[in-house]
Amino acid sequence: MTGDKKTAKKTSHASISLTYEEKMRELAEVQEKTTNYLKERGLGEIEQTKITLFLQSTKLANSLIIPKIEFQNIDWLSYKFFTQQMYKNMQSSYLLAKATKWTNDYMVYARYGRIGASFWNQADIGRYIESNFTSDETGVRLYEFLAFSHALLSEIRITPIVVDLPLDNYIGLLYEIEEDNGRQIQLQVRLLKDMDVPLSIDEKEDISLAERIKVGEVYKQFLEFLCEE
Amino acid sequence: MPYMIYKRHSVYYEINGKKDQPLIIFINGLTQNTAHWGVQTEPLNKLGYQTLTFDLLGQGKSFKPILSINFEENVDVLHQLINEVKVKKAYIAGISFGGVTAMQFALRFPQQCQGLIIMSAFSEMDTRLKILGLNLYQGLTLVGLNMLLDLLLPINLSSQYMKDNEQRLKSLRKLSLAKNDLYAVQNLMESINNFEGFTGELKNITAPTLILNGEFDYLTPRWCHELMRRNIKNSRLVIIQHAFHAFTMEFPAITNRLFDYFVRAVENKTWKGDQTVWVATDNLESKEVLYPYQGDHMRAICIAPLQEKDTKKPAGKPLKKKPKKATKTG
Repeated sequence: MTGDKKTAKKTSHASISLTYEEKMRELAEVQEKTTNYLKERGLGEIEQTKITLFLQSTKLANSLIIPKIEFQNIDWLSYKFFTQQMYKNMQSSYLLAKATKWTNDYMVYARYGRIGASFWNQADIGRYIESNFTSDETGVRLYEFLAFSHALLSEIRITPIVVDLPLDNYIGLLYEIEEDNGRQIQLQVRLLKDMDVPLSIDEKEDISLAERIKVGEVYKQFLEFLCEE
Repeated sequence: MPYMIYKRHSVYYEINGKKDQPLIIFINGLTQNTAHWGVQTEPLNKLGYQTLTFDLLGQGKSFKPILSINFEENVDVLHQLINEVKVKKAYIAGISFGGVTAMQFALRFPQQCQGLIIMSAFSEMDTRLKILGLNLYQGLTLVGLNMLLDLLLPINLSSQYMKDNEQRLKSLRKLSLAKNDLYAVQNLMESINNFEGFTGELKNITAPTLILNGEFDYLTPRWCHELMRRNIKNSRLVIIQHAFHAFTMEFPAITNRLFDYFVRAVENKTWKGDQTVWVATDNLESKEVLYPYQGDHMRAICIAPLQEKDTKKPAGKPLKKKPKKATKTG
């Protein structure tokens, strides 16, 4: 590689890091606003409905992509954990539905449609589902999916914004789901670190950051929606 | 909010106190962040010191690398940070995980190290420490961050403190769960997977060094600090009474007094790094800050020398209970 190309690559790595950090700072500000909003308002039917709808979307997205592994050359242990993760996602989704005090305000559901669609588009979930049926010999697409899934499980967190609220069944369940996400994510962590793909460490990190930027953007939109009157 | 860019990542830091005064830099332990040093920085600023706290990569408000963290880089981050705040020399204080970084910094950049404060740290890992570390790691990865925090609590603090601060600790735990990211803490723990002891290099540390060890610290017990005392020539070992691993949190006033005592002694050129062992007084009203340790500081019990009359009969009366007969029913 020539010196110019190396410099250009270095600049692009740095640039994605800076974009990521800028986005994360914006997100942190919105998170703080949301925390204060919920501290004042509490977690009523409308807020619970919004949170559950959003979390169910993320769980659905993660589960829809998992069948991709059926066509991949991965070992039995990883396969087992992927399958477990898919069932865990579904279980969390059902438990949330059961614990939520659903609102009768149909406008909340109608307005959530916009967020749901935006989530689908911005996170480009279709791309992953589509690629379930195509060959991925280098494993790079699988790597991208893992990074996306890692971002979904680690970036989207509700407990930091309800930290000031007293524990009840619903908040207790949110903590439980996030703890479980922490366990589930070990599969993504190990594969992201150790999977044999033709990518350098910087390229791997860039993929992870790019996926986190996408997921972070969607999460930010959701938080703004959560604070809408 | 000040951030420094290290390579492609941002590092969060806070600098407080009057400029041109001695600067004390605090390096976090594993699950700490800048906010934890508030009980140190505020009183020390009032005493006239400048303080700098920062989050290591993977902690608090600094960038959290997704794939891995290189432990050696913590030293480079600190070096760049000192240059960033345009200070020539500073007192480097590190606790636990951060204490290791503090020692490695003193080895690599002696010209920037005015003095060294090592707390609850290690330069070597024996089987017990490795297993304890592995248990903490497994707690984190197999159960979750909650398990790691629960395992750390009795390692860090005394029963009395936990009893007196039950509610506070509960809310701190909740806050820690919400604000920490499991993958980042995991990366930090994995960064010392390939840790290799560096006790042999400690003799090259020339900076005045205060080594602090909690009386009951069983994560990094006395032997860890004894290795430092024996190998760092310009050092003194001070034992903090009643303390466990996280004494900066449990006994902030006592530790602040020790920081002040040490920095003042180095600044006044009265510091005696004679590799002796001392005990920090637990009485804040006491004029003396510390007094010499009597006896064998490596033992948990103090064995008094035997006097002649003591050898004739042992202390206390022997138990004269008859052994119970075994019955068929047991």
